[in-house]
Amino acid sequence: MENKEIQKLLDFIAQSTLDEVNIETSELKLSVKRYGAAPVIQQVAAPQVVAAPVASPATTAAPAAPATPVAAPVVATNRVTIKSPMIGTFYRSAGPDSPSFVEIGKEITKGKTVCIIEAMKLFNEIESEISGKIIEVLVENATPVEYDQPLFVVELA
Amino acid sequence: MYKIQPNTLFTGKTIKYLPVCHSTNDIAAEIIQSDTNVFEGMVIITDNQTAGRGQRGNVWEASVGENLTFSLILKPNFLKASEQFKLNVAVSLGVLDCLSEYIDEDLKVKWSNDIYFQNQKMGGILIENTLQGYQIGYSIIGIGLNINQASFPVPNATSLRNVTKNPLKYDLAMILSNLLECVEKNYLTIKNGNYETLKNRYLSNLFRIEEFHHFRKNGQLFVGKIIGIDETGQLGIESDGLIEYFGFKEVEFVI
Repeated sequence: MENKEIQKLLDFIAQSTLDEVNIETSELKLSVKRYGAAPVIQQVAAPQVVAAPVASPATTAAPAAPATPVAAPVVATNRVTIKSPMIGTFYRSAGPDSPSFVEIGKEITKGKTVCIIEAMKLFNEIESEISGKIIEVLVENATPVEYDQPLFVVELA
Repeated sequence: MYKIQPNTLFTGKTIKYLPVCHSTNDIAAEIIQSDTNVFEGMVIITDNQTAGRGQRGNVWEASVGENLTFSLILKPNFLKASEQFKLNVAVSLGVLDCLSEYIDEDLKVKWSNDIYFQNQKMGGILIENTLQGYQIGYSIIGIGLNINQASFPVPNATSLRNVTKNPLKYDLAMILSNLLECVEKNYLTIKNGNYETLKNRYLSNLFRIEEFHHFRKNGQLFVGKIIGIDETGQLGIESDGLIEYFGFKEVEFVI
């Protein structure tokens, strides 16, 4: 591969959003890794080819390797928690004699009321902002909750 | 019924009158759920509320056609969920301002939002919000005010007419109109970011503030003095030189 071609390839990679590219052909092994803003180029053991008979077929970008690993837990990435937006008392139903808004294993949709938080005699229906299945209820009925305290675990639909 | 033209920007411009209904707050919630034709400032009013609600599990009873029982829909999107006590202060003062046009003194807000004349309850407020994330979506302000009712099944309740001994019954529509104007005025004050002035007025009109009285905590009687509220609306009571802040169910007045 000509230096010019390699330069072209590197320019292409530099302008892409890829953080890491590995290309391997019979005549070339190219590994590019981006650290912050400046790309660091590493050319490994490229055998010298005097006269390349045909243009290398592997000038296209390598299969897009996953970009920087996403900072997320390895397991259960489809699970999210519904948190309390305020300090107050957590209620699972509209009234002492009413059924619970949600049960474990039941599907909920965006906009569905999942609980009530009361503070100073003001009552707040907490609407779900996601759709999915209730996996866990983390707080006992009629007990105090803190700001941002997780209330439910939901498996995303 | 209730053909009123309050001098407001948006409050009470649309009035839904139901001769009978279970709870105006529930009707308001249904209207919000249906998501069509909801206007900020919309009022749902009835002459006969058959299943009026107070706080969780409590009932609000009122004689048919004698009192005001209605709900007002507001959209205080400018408030975070954690700031909602500001709304409570604005509404409580709105009710108080309206009644002060008929009663000169001894009219107070019993924390957090009951309306008292001396040691008797004249009205109650039930605020129910829908929260979307950390913001308030809609707010349903349920207000029950005893106006013309002459006798009550409990000793600690009274009405405007009982207090003023007015020979004639009050015109409910006129009081409603006045009330909506007062509530909107205070609501706009918090919307414009002037909560502090309202908070000071709320405190100076707070039932039993700066007086020594009996309270109950976990069933235990103690003597204390209300000294104020914190930013979440918790009630501060000083007892034996110590100040403790209480949530709604954590302390009980002994009246």
